[in-house]
Amino acid sequence: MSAALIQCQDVWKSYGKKEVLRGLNLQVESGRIVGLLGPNGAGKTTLLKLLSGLLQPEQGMVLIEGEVPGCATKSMVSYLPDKPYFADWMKVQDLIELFEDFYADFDRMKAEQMCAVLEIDIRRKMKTLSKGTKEKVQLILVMSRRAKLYLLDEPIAGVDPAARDFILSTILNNYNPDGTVLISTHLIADVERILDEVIFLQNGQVIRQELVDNLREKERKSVDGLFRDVFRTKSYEGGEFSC
Amino acid sequence: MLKKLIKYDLKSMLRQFVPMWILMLVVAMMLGISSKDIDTSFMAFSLSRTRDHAIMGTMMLVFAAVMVALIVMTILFCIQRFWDGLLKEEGYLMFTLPVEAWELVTAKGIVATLVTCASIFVGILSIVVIILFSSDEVLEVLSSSGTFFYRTLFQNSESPYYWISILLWLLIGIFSVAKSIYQIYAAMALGHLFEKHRVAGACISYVGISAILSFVGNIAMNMIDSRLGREMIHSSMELMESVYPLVYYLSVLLLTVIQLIIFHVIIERVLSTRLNLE
Repeated sequence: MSAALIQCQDVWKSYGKKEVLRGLNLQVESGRIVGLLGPNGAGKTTLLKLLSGLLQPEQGMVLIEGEVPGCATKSMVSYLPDKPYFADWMKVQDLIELFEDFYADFDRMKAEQMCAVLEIDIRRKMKTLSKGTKEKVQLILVMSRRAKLYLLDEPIAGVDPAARDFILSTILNNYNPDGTVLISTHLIADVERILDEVIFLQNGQVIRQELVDNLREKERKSVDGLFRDVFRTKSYEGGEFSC
Repeated sequence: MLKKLIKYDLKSMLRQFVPMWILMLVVAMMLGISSKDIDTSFMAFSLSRTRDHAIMGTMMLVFAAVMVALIVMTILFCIQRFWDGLLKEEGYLMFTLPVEAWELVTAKGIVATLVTCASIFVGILSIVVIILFSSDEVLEVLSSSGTFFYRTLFQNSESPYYWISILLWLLIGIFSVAKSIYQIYAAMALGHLFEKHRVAGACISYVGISAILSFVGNIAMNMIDSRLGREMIHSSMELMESVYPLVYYLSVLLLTVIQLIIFHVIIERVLSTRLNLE
């Protein structure tokens, strides 16, 4: 059995009075595409931010390849946040240069080729690109790294089905096979086909972690079906308006 | 990595400042030219004189407007580069780069200090440009007073302490600019700790820091003054040759550097341990 790439032990994190992660325990190994699944507010984004070093846990331990998130782990983690994070004045080629300057594992040629395939002019400024194209540029940059860990926060949320296909195929065709991809999403039906393993997160805790094949065999249903069963909320039956 | 961060921050700042600096110098040159050889005598009323005065007046207004714009822009952009660059969406990029938080802070601080000092230099240079392009009479008067100024300034230039004093003034000036910028950054970092109303939190933090600085600074300066001031007054005849001014300047420089380091540590600690980009 290979050593764990990600290790989280009794991790607690809160924003003000709201506890987002409540004693989370987790272990993820290398060489897998893992779905981090859970309803809104389950703590997916917070967990990814802890792993990328953007947040510090209040209690507990987060380790990547045995190291606390910091300068060393950032050079092996490729993080895609759930929002655009580039300065609008920058051109696409400025961003490519920036990634090339700071990340030793960045493949410039790959990034330029992907831009060319998508007919993205790298001389254009970010502010002149559409929202969808900005997201594609961000994904291209993140996936052009030969990282040990890819943290993708809601990569397919808010894009049309055609763009979803592009994003998923980009992830599948470009990630480092020796590394791990952790995808946070609640659009399970779309990502299910590329996942090796799933982690169900609820109220800041891992409630289930299993290989997709085992899960399908045990439950005799798709991951999407199981997700709907696990996180089903009772719908409001309606009623009379009070006068 | 620090060099690379400085390169990117500088690129971001210069694309906004260079056009402004050029504009400032061009307007100064035009003001100088428009005021050249204007007949200022009372009897010289004529249509062309009125027109010349109108052009000169307009250029003075434009120059003043550009000067104010440069000052406002320098302050706002230095604040914006830190707030937007580290504490808003761009922070996601900067804090996931394989660099330490102190490097991010240092890069922002160095670039903001450089740009502010350059803006001050351009402001002074633009006044020199006006003088150079304005009438010969003004130039003559200024050069004669300049000679007086030069003599006064350099009368002690043979003193061994003279050039060290000049160097210390310069360092005090640069470090004071840096300290003021770091004070604003420290206030923003502390404001970032607030759950809500972070801008208000930053403003309150700035007022708080200023009050503490004023209190502690006054005590420190009084101590320096009481120890050195009297000695300086008594040795006023040999003021520039005396070693006391040097000790005084060094003390001021040291105080400024200490404040700078304290602010740097505050910012670095907040960003390393309490960062919250939500």
